[in-house]
Amino acid sequence: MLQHIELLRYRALAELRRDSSGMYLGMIWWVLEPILYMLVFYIVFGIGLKKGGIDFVFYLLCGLVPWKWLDSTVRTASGVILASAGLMRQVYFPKWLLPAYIVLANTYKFFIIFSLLILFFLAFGLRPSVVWLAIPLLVLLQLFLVVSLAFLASAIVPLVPDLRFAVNYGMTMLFFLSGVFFNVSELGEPVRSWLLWVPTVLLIDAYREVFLYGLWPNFYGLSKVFLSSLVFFIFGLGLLLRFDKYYPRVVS
Amino acid sequence: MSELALSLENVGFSYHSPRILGASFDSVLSGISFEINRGEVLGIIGKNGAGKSTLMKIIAGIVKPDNGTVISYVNRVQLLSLQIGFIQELTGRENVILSSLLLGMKRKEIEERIPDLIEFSELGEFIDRPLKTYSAGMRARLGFAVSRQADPDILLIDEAFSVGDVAFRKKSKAVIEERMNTHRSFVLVSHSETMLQEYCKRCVWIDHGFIKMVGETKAVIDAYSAN
Repeated sequence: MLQHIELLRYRALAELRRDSSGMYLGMIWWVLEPILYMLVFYIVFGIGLKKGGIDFVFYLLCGLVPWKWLDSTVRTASGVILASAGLMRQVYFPKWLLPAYIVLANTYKFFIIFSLLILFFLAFGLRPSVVWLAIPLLVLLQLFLVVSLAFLASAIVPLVPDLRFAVNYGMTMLFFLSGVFFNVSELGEPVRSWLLWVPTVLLIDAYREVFLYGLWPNFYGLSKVFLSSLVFFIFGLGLLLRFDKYYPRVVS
Repeated sequence: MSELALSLENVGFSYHSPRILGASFDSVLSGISFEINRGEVLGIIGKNGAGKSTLMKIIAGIVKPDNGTVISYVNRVQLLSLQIGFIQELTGRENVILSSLLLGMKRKEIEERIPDLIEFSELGEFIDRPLKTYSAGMRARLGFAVSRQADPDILLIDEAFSVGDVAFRKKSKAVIEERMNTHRSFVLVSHSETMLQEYCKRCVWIDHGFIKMVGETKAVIDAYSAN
């Protein structure tokens, strides 16, 4: 087990180096990329659609930063087993390590960006309050969701390669459903009630309640996030373990 | 009476296409049974497509057979392949650690062996530079240094990996000779009858997924050549 943790660390390190190598700005891109990405949304929704000033920027960032963590992890994880075909044919290792190192690398990047986000909030006038104590809980809960969806996507795609596209479209659809740039509670029924079952909607909402409105998050909603993550996790890890020695066959 | 290192019992394996519709089954191996003893160099011979490489993957525990059982009495069984898991962006030292971890070594073991390994690889200060700055020769030296240190209980050497690679062949020989009398076992898959005759007492002849013959190397090779 200790060995596996070491392996994870080195693979994650490699992933981070790979991301930044060969470019002049190197690691700065980790920060620059999400900033540019957020800028586009700000230009379109903040300025273009006149949704409002700095408040709307805060609002967007609360959704975009956590979303980006989930999105890049799941998309990369869905292809990681296929991409590791060569290695899988040379040596045995538990396949759950593959999505796990993708999660680790992306989580590391998220922590950097999330810290910057908090600094940005403080610089532009948000004051910390006692409800910020809920932030580690939100991050942990999201980590669980990220792990479980990454495991599930990585496990299924090699078995049914057609799902590669489904994962990509699914993530794009989930993005539009998650209320990153609109407020789900302002939607009409029954859509509103439906969306209150989507884990990302509930999580993004919770981040906003804590940061923007100084409220404790809705713990009932968060328990739904936990339960659905648990289901995905059991299913995803179950597949990875079940097909552990089968993946080298389908990818060769 | 020699001690067993690994045994296969009635192993069968077939490839099926991953598609749900129109899946086809091709039997690659069936009814394979033999043992590998401790300290033995066992040869495997057979034509291309006879299922030798698949058999190696089953013995190495990379894939699971569809039927039959593989019982291993040792800890580490590995395919010899150089530069396992090497990553361009990591330094030589980091790659050594990563690769050795993949080969089942413990962190402590690796740390103990690293100075020796670096010396053997003759990389000097390059060891702390990224792999992508290495020449092909340097990479090969590092890869070989790692697999030499990994020291599995059973090492599987598949010459199919080394088509036309004289260096690989030489190195395989060097590894075998270094370890011959250390209770380690080897499985050698080769087209080169001379190599099998040189190292193996016993050979297994695989033909179209079945065992055609198991026995003394000379007898097996004679029958194989006559075929």
